Amino acid sequence: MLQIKNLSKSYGMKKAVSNLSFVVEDGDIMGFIGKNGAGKTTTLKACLGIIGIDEGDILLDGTSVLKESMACKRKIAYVPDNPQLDEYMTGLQYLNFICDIYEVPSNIRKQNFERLTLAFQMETYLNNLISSYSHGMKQKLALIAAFSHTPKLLILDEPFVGLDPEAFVILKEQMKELCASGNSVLFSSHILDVVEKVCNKVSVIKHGQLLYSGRTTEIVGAKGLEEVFMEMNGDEISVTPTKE
Amino acid sequence: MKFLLPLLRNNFLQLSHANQLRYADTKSRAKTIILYLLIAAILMGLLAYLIYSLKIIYSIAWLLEEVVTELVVPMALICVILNIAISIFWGSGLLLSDTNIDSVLALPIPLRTLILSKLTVLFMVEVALTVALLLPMMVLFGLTTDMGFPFYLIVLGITILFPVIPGLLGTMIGTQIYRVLKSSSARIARLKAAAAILVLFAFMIFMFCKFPDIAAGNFGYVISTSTFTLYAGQYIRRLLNGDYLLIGLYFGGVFLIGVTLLYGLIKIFRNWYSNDAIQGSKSQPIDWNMQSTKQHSPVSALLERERTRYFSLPVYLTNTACGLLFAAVFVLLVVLMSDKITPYIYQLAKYFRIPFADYDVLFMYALSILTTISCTTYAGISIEGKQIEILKSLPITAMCLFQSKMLHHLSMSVPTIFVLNTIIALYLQWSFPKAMLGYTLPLLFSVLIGMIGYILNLIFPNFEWENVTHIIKQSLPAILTALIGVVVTCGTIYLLLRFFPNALFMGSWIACAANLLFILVMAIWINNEGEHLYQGF
Repeated sequence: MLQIKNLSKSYGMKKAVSNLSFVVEDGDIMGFIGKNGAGKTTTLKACLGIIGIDEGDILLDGTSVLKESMACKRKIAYVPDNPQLDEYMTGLQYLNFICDIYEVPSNIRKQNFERLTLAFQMETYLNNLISSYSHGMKQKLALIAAFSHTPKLLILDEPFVGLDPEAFVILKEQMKELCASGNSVLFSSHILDVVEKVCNKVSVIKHGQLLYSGRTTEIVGAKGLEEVFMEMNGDEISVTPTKE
Repeated sequence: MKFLLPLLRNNFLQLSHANQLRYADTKSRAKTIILYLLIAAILMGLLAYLIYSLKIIYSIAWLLEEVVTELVVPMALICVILNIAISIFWGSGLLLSDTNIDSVLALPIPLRTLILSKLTVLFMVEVALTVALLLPMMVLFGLTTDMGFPFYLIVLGITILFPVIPGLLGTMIGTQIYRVLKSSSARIARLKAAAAILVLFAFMIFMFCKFPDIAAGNFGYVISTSTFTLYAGQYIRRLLNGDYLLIGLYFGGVFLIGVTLLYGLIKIFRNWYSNDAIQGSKSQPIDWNMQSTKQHSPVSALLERERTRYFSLPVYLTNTACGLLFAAVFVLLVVLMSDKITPYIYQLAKYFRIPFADYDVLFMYALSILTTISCTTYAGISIEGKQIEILKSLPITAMCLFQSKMLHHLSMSVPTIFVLNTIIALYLQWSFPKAMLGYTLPLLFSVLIGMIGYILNLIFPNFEWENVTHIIKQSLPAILTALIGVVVTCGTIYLLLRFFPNALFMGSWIACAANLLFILVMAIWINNEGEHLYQGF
């Protein structure tokens, strides 16, 4: 379970995130949505311990990410919006490298590689240099690397950008499969249709503040998520209390 | 051509980091200023050396024939070779390594304007180089023959247009090499690393063998006796004597050939973009039974990653391995051509009145100075570039990262030092204590410079580079590490020779102890501060 408590982060004079609190429970697929510059990427990076924070705490299964970042990172996998992979490596070398870092035993990683590369249709490109991959292929490789060590929490920043329709579907299936084993996924996206269909929970952020965090079905109601999001991000809308 | 000026302005802005000075935060601004100051200091030094050399050349009473055959022709040849070499490495990179090329090509800008704008900076550097090297020789010709003012205008025009053909030619050659090297095959990546080492090694052997002639100023003689330079000498003499037909042919020829080469380059670029740049990855079936999925420790995995990257980037390899290659060439020459190398060492020893028993220590310092030129750690952090974000998200401590980078540095230097010192110790029949010093001294200097490079890169990281060449050759840690390496090794031997020439052997062991102390202090600092700095990136 990921608990974000009163997270605040500023860049100079600009407050990127202000007093943000929400929870991602085991088994949740949470969509994290907001306009450009709302604070989504800052929040995700703070959860990974990549950036420091000004106030608050982030707990993964009760362990503070700030105080015991290594212990938390061993349970987290992260795929950024534009994955910059080691271009001088082949796809397989990169996968082996990630699994070495996460100390995945040889037999388990082999099974995972076979399963995931087949699912994402990357098995015939693994012995090529990453420098020859297209953006979508790099995205797929980064996703395979993330899934291959079965993380407790998978954090994805705009994961659907650059994926072909088949990979789109496969990613959704893999996320559901991961969460079915008691793990969780937190991802940011601008594709609200996907968030509505895939996520059981949604958090909406605006100007660094949380507008809503709770079940997708409760916020959507009779309207689509897109309509609700547009209403929430209008200038006149007041902050909706956080729901669990 | 209306787009040329805005494009040139953008290129200058990018190259000069002017926006870093105006808009970046205080830390980035300070780094840029320090880089500017360092580059200015180096340029001033080179300029001072050039002026000093020209002063000597101008003080000699040359005959007209000698000016042409001993100065102008060799310098013209050197300028041609330099311009081609610079264009091969830099020109092709300027054209083909633009990551924003798709967006730029979508703009309503003619391709020739785009290519001209990219190559203008390169051209200006080559013009500056040619003006610095070739123009003074031509001016000397003018002064020797009492030429009028128009002569100097003409030679200025000749010099300015001189780099056009070699520059374009070099860019075309570099572009074709770039296309071959930018292959999706891992095997090609290994082959190109091997080729880079072989070419560098061969170049070094050539320079070491020819250096005594060049140092004695005899290279002019060597070049001037060849058939090519005889014809070139006649042509240049007629050109400089004001043969207007030849001058017209020169300017016309440069223009026509330049335009032809430019259009050839445009065609190569267009072919590259259409075929190679958007070429997909080749699919090959995979047999999981044949693939290695063996587990390694995180440090081993990081080390393997370092090694793979190192041998996949020829610029990283050649720039950081050249010291070790120099050392190998040095030892090779000591063994195979000791009559060329040993007299210099013995002369130096006699000059400083070193006891004969300690002469061999100078060989150890020569080896140490050369091996410390090789340092891979000064780019160790910055080379992660935009991958730093993913790296920081992984469960890797700063100490693990440090270990992998230092181990990689030592995996290059330690075996080389061991092998080279063993060869030289056997050849010169060193005693056991001397042989031990021969291993210890360069090894400790190598560890020292490795740690200095790593610390400098921790303090002055740069992840915003577009071209890896920048952080390998032009970054602040690169320049500082090179300077400190030279100062530390040469400074140590200088102090010992100056103040303790009679106790060189013992003094060197004390220097080793001092090195070890510095290494321990730096290790403690990295242990305490490294994690904090790493998390702050």
